[in-house]
Amino acid sequence: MKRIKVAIYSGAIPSTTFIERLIEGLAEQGFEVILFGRVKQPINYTSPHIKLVGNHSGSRGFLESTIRFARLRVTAPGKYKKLMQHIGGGPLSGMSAFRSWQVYAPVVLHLPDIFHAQWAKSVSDWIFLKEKFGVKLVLSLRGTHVNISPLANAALAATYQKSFKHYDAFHSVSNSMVKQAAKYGIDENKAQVIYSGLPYQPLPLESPERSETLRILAVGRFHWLKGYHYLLDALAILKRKNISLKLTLIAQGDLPEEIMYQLHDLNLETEVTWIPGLPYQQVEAHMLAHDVLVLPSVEEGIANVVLESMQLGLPVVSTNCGGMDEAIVNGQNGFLIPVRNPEALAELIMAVKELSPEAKNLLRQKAHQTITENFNLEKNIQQFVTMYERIKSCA
Amino acid sequence: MRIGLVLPAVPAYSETFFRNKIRFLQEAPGFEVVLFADRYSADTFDLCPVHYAVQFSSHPIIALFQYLGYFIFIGFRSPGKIFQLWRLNDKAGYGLKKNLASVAMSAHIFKQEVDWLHFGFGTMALGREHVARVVGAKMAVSFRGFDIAIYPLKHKNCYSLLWETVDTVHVISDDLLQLVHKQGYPNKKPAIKITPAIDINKFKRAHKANVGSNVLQFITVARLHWKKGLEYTLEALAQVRNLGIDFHYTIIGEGEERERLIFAVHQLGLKDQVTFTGRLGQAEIIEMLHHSDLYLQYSIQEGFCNAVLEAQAMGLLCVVSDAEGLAENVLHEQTGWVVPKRRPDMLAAKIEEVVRLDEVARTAVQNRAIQRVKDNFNLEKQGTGFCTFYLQTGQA
Repeated sequence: MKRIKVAIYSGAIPSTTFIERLIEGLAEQGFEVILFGRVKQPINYTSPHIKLVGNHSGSRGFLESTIRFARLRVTAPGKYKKLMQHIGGGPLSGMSAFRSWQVYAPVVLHLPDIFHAQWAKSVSDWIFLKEKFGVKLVLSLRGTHVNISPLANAALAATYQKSFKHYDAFHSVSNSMVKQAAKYGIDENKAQVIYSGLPYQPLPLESPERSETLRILAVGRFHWLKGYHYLLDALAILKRKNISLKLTLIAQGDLPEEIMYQLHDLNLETEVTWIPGLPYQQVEAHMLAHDVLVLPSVEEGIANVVLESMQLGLPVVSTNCGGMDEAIVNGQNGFLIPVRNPEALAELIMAVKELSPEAKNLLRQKAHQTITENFNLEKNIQQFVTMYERIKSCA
Repeated sequence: MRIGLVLPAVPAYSETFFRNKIRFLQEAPGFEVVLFADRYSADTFDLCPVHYAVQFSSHPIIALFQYLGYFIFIGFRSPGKIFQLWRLNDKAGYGLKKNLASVAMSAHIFKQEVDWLHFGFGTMALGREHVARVVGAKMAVSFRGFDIAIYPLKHKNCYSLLWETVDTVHVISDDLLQLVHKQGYPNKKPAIKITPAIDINKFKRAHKANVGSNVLQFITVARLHWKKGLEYTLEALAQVRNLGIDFHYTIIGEGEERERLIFAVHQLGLKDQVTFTGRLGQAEIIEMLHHSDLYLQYSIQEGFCNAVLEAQAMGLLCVVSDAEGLAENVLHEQTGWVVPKRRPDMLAAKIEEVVRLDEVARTAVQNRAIQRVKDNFNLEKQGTGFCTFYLQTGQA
């Protein structure tokens, strides 16, 4: 049987851990996976069913693009013409046309059966694939593109309204994200919630190391929606109560002025250690050496870092935002607090510290069970497989 | 006395502090101002002569040729001063790159004879610590908030050389003066506080126009920036709404945190109670203030804040945070109310208390605030302060 060709497009190669897992999982399931986008780092896939058609930067990119344009022109003049109509000129008709050709020509040259865009902001860019080439379109509903950006950007909201109807299916990272996207006119019947999946691993033994100091961990890039300023406010409350604590903050990017000032202003500089981003294996080691993971966000899909902590049995205190309550049942496998509430956060952090060993053990097991049952990589890939097969079979 | 004022660019129309200062000094007998602007702008500026720093292209190759040409040009024009600056910088441990940059950003000052070289912000003096000495002038530096409260957190000990070379510093609040000393400015060196001032003829008591409803009008004029504490303000207002108080809140200003604040409004369910107007001109701001009851400035970091002075002058009740100069700008329970920062619950409680004040108590606060701004924060007082500052420190 002919393999279904699926393009996984996130704009960047390699993509995030979860998208990379999807790419490899689909290849194992018999799909031919094609990757388009800008090559940020060299990457080698072991599977022969993953095809990399990325754009490199600099003169290499220029050369490979020129060869692609020529190949398209010679081997598929019909497609070339259609793409020229779409862009409104040939590759040499101007700088902006050249850039558009760089992005679109590889996709037209290696036309997939299904084009799966991972981020909503590019939603309108790919409609031509369906209209001119009959490619099925799938869009992932995740992140700020859906739940934040269109609120403050009326033009983007209008683009979503116009574009969503052209898509054949939507993958959503949470039920809550479907509801958010429904405001911009997605057909909810076309949306399928597929939770992020983690490869199975058994619940590790709890570290025997005990500390009088409360060891708090927070992981995630610096962005206002991560609500780190509320976490620092909560730490200040705990410090005023003479609670001995340490926060390890693993966050990519430069330390923002706002956080730097707040650390100084609240006299928390000795309590907080900032680590500017780490590979997952090292984050995992930190998870095993802390007492609680805190997610103080004001908005999320379902934060992957929470899923990872739950799998490793690190108790989680999370704000009840986005889809977090789809993973956490408050008091059973973790704790939920209202958003923007440092007092509640401080209280819950203390409650975790004071959990009895039995209660903590039960919590760890339940958290691990939640991940194994609902956020399982195999199940996740199988759901994508079923979704793509269904779309492909629809006329 | 000739004052050379060093600023990032010519002050825009809204930058009343510098415009007022320049205007006053130009009119004061025996004073004259010359402005040194780092960035060229096409805006017309006729308050005093302006000399621009050389503008280099952002294209690296073009910039390289510009650099070469410029160094040959200034090498012929002011060889002695360049040599002297280079040597002083070198002695202070400047590397080659930093020294070249120092010369490039200072050479436009060399040709002017000034008695004082006054840097409008602390950060502007970095890399130019020896320029005043080279041109034979006294050196003054103003600190206004960010430059002393935030910048040194990122750049530890960035002012240590400046503290040696500067003759005097100017701050806009007592709190900032403490920070200046905390950063190592010697106690034995002179420092002066001259608070900002406003044109009290422009900001006259508002008689709230009847807007045809009993909805209380709250207002803030601020950049949409984390320093302004607007997210905490919105959180407080969500609590005020839950107390059953009917209000509308207008935020005048624009900035990088717009998305964050719009999301907060959305999440806190305040869509019908909050309006973002974007940036407005002064006349429009005054008009909006005329229609308002309560002015909020719940900043996280704030040098002093002219907008709060303007609101007080117009008789608006002001609730502010205790960030740096704000507690000096508004006297707690006398000319307004000061609430600890980052405590939306306390801000909400204070707003409730203030809106429920009786007429007598409200009027008393308004009157005291208006009088205090008239007496202490007028342009005359600020201008005289600067004249004294240059004269006395110049003689010291």
